[in-house]
Amino acid sequence: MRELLSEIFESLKKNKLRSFLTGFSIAWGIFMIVILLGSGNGLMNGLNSNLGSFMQSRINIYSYFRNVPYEGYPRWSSVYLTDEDISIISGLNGVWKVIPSVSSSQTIRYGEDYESSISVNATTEESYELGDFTIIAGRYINRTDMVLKRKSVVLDEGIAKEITDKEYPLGKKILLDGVPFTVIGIAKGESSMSFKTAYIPVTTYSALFKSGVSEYRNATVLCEDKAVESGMTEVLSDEIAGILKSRHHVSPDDKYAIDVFSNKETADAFRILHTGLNVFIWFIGIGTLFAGVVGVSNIMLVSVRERTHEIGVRKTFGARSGSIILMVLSETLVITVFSGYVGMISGVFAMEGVNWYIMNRPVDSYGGFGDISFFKDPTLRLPVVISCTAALIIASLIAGYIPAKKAAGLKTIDALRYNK
Amino acid sequence: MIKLRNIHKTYDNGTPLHVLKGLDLDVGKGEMIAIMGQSGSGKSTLLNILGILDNYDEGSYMLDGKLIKNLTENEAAMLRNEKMGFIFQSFNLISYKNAVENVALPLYYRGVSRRQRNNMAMELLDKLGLADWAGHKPNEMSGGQKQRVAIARALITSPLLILADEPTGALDSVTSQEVMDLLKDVNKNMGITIVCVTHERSIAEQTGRVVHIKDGLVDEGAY
Repeated sequence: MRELLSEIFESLKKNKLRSFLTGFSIAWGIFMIVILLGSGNGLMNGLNSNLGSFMQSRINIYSYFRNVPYEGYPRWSSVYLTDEDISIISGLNGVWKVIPSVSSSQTIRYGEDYESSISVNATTEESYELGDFTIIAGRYINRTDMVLKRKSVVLDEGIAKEITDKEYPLGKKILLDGVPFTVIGIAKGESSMSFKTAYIPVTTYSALFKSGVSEYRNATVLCEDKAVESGMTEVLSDEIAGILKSRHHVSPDDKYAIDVFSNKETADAFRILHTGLNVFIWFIGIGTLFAGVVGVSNIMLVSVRERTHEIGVRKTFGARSGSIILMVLSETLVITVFSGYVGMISGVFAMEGVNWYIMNRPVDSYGGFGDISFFKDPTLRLPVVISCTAALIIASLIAGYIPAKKAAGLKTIDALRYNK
Repeated sequence: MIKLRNIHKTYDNGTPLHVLKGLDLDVGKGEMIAIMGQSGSGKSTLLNILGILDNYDEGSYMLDGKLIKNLTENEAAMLRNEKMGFIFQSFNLISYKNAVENVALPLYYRGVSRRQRNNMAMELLDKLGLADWAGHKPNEMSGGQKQRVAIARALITSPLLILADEPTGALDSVTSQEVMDLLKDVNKNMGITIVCVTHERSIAEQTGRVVHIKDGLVDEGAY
């Protein structure tokens, strides 16, 4: 083994530039695979993170405008969910809770200096169970806030830091569209969808901004475990959509007026996307690696030709085909595996560097919190690293096989006569 | 030791060239013979067949009682390693290996351990007066030194037969004589059969017998 390695390094030393360029093609191929796979992971992790707590027990209901005129209701007429809708859906088999909400854009003012446009999510105290955020200071909306229609507001951490860079403004007054609200809590979102969002009781919102009328654009249905386990969520989605369309005179063909979908469908779609993305990435990566392998194989053919006379001498003194094949394959393996590892380590370091930057970049832009972005944790898992290693070894064996067979197949007398 | 009967060899690279035309040759154990002939007479072809580096088309070749015919490359390699040593005009040392490594090469293909084969190589180099050059590469040596390294490589496996193809062809007269003295010494003291192809009469006459090849046959009348 020591002698074999010594021979390999001597052979590589004889043509340093060629050895370097050959190895570079393999290193680059593996580097690209690692970057592509890491980026794919980062993209999927970021997408998953931005979707918040992606509970498969959720069914999301959105109401918009009629896209199809129906039963006397014209196109573009609004559709709102009502308390009665909420009550009916709550009574369906398999439904645990229904949490209505309505979002609007409002102007927030604090003191003399701070004014900004934010998203206000008017909802119930139960919306905390959706897991889209955690309370890091103060408290969330409670039942008393709902019943008494208090002007209580929970601010997203981003807004809180913009208002004051000192302590959180708990207990302080802010104005929402000119109406004073008291800050009762600070929330930290799990996705960028909760960025620059404030939460107020939906009863308060209805009283202050909708003249006391309870109308909702959205509702989130939490299903019972048995419904999720039995795969009932899609059936339940269809049932809810049917009930609401019937109650609100929406055409059954109107896909926009009332949109009901379960997270399971979206989760399945993302799984397919993830698989498709991975297949694409591996395809590109393997293609790049293949180009490198062809390069190595080509160079090894040149190397075998240069060593033809030497192979003839070795065979004269007893070298059999197996040892010639071993000699060529070993050299290929050393070049490919060593270069591949350099490429892999470089790629892993590059992705760790990107990950470090994402985690530590300053908060100075929309969606720019360290752990909230569309690109998160772009690192490789151990099974992927092992797969890359296996791909490397297979690639090197493929690269060296043809040259090795050629070398082994040389007739001794022809090889001895070969002029360099 | 060696019995060649009715050996025919034709090269066919478009136009057939019948080089050996029914050659017969006997070489006894421990003999040292020279093969001479003009260019194209078939002497190198004969040496290649004796060294199982090339096949013959017709006839029979018996080496130490074993028929050598239609061997595969691997079988031929094993037999060469077991029974033969080779010395070439151009030395054929591996350029990136030092003297010890070159000498030890045949033992590497026998599976002998690194330490043992290096020790054996050093011993031989020492006997040939090249101990100080053990760690040197071929490009650091003179022609005579390189040929002595090649002789050591040929001897390391204690072969029955050494085949030398113009062993003094690339050397000056003084060095040539040193090499011939060494080969004669090996033949006499170790009993190794030596077949030497040469075009130099002065070299040939130092062997026990000169075989002339003419038109692909042994020329019995030429001595």
